[in-house]
Amino acid sequence: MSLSTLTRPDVAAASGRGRVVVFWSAAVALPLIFLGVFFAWPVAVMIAKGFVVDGQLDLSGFADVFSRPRTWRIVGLTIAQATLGTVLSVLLGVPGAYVLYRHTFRGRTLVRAFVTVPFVLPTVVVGVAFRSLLVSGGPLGFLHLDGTFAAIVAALVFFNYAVVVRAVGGLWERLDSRAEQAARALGASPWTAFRTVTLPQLTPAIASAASLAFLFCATAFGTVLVLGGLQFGTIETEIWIQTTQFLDLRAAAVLSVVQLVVVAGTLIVAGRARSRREQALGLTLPSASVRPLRLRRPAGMPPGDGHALTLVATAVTALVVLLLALPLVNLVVRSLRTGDGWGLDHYTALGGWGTTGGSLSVTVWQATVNSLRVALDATMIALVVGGLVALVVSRRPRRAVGRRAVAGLDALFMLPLGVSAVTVGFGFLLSMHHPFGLPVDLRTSPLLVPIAQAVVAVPLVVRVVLPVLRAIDPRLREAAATLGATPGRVLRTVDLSIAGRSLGLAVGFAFAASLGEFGATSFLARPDRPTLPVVIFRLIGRPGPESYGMALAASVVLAVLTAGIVAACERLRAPGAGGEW
Amino acid sequence: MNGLSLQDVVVRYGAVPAVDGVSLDVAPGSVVALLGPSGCGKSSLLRAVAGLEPLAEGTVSWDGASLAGVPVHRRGFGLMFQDGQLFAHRTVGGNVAYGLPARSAARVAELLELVGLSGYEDRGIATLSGGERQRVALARALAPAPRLLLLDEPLSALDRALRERLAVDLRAALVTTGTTAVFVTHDQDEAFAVADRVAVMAAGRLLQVDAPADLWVRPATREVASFLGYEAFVPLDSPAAAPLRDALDVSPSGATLALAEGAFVVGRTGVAKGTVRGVSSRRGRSEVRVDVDGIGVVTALGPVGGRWTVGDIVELGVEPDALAVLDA
Repeated sequence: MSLSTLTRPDVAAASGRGRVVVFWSAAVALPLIFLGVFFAWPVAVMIAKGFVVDGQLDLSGFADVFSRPRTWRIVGLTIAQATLGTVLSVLLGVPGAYVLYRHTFRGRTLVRAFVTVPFVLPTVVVGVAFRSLLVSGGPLGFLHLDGTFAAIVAALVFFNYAVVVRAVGGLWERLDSRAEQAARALGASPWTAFRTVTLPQLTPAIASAASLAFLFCATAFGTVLVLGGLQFGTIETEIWIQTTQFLDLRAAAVLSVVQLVVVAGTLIVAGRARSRREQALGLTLPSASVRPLRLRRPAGMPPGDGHALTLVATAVTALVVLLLALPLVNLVVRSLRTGDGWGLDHYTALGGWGTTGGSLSVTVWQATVNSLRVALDATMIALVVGGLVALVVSRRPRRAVGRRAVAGLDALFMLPLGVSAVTVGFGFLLSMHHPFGLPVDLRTSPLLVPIAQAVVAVPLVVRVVLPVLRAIDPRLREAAATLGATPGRVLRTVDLSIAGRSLGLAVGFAFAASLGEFGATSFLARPDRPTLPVVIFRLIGRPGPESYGMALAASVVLAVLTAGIVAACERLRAPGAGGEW
Repeated sequence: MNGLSLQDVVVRYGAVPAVDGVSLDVAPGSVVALLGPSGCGKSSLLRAVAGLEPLAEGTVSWDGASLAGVPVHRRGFGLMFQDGQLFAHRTVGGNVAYGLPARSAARVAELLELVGLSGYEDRGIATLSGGERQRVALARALAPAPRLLLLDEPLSALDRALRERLAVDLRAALVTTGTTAVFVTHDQDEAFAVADRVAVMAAGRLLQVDAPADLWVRPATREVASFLGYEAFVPLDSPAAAPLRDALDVSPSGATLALAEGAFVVGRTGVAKGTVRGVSSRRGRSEVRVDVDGIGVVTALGPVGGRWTVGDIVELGVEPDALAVLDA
């Protein structure tokens, strides 16, 4: 130690403070630069392509695109699909949350995990699973739902049910039931007490879950592309069609802006709902409010005491769980059916190049390995960037300006969740050729696909880690500081060690998101190195029962891989550490 | 039988009985306190009366009619919790009006006045102090004029001074409205301040039901006595009990003598001797821990400003009001 630091303690203190400033500046700057270069810039380039003609700003595209009936049909369809999908998810998800989080029964852990499976399934797989269920000749073929609006809405609900159940259930299981009991004692029937007391307490969680579900529904791509065909679509699939089929970049740019507006609006609503969350709610430990689930009315419980409501919720949930299982079971069963009976033929075929309708250029197994490698890189990037964002956003600066900046940063990093992945992917192609005038072509870089997928996965990491960081009692940090811990040590021993418990889930979701990512990857994956969802989509597009069988088998492989990884990651986390997920 | 009547009530959580065969009558207009240590089953009993816990055995009846088939909201029993459980999404007025028919503004105002919160109708719940919240909770519970009010440790979450003041106000509000009430608490001062009769519970059973003064003077068992604060027990016929027998003017027998804090007084004409083990002060009075031969370490009271050091031998007088003879 030098003499000067011994005699000049203020210098040492100043350099300590300097390190803190440098750390936080880097924590803010790194994610901002990442988001700027790999999200804002490509999206801006993509949108500019539509609006800048010969160096002149030309907004006539808006008038042109909005004068097409097709545009209005697509916008209407998007909003109708998302609204219906969200409303149904909430109507089914609230009873589900009640049964799965307010009650205990044998196999509850299993059912809870199962309900989450559709949420982490790649959208392409969901599309394939629903198609194989609904096509003529499928188990539900007699309903003639293949290629209909109803089929798309059903697939969206399939995907978003878990979002509502997990978010609402997480709050509901900690809600003090005595407020409801007080209402009952004041003369409210079980239903009235639920409507006037419990429901208002749950409203923030429901609103937050609904806005997320709306976001996922409105920007659905893979599922809708597989199920909707040419007749139905969302703004997102329309951007894809305009870009790749009609090469109409102006229309794609206008639609991207429209989607951005829809997404930003939804995010604002979601942010409001989240900030009002847990407003003076009476919360307890889950053990205090959770009861065993009984199908028969317990002895001594009078009629009219709410048992009927529990029964209805249980019946609804049981039906939903069955319906959720249907496409998945059917997918597995159909993948095992061969031309003349049953067998693993389709799975064996995954090792080959495909014989009919042109070569795949890689085997499905090679694509699987490639997918895993890409997802691993994407997860690492998403964890670093998302972790830093969560850390910064979890701070509560003293000054109002600081608090507003933190809130702005929070909203900013939610944007990739809703901005068209297709726009991002195509924007990458346009902007990464000599980016910022630099003489490099990033389009051939093997890191391009992982980076694009990380952009999509970052919001998920933030949403999982942030609630855990926010829930840390500030007095814990103060206690650590008074015990002599430096700011760095406080961060390491308090924030990081507690947030680390939610890391398993964050890794799982990030991994699942990038494994299943299709919108951006379909643009960026090089033909000789496709990912699994891209290969599945190619297989569906090819004629012949053999290709279709291979698509089914590949979907099962992708589904099992994703669900297995998420399940393994979720086992790693401490109970209750998942925040709103 | 008018009012509330409990017959052999058993409440079980799994196989463990939380309430184990309790029978109790509460006459209309009276206030009964269920007093016991935490975990003794008093809250479970209260919840069973409200209809929130199913009865494993026994009956709960009102005016002679069994309530077995009557759900919570049709019992006409009010319920007030330790932490109020106010509805955060409603105003003070909205909370009080919850159990009332529409357009009951006059009744809401009347009740807020009763609990000393006139004009609070439009205040938000978050703006209230802990004491104010409990007052609103009381007003809300009293608003529909319940035929029985059940209070589950309504004052326990408040600080001591507030608790003592609110206990008096609570008693006044119950008497003014003529409300029949069952009041659960673990604090005997609170029970004695609010209730007409006190029922002492331990391990799921009722040990004794009596008026506060009778309970203090004649605790039925050693268990009740120790819960009330009697700290030492000696056989009535032991030699060490002689000065105590003289003070009470009773003859030796097989009964047990219970000594509360202050049974011995330091500095009065001495009838016994003790060794000082420690001195503390509460509200100005000195409390001297003394070791008395044949009895053990007890808390004796001393005059304000007394000075003793550990090891001193002091003369002790006897205060008969702090002694009780147990039959068992």
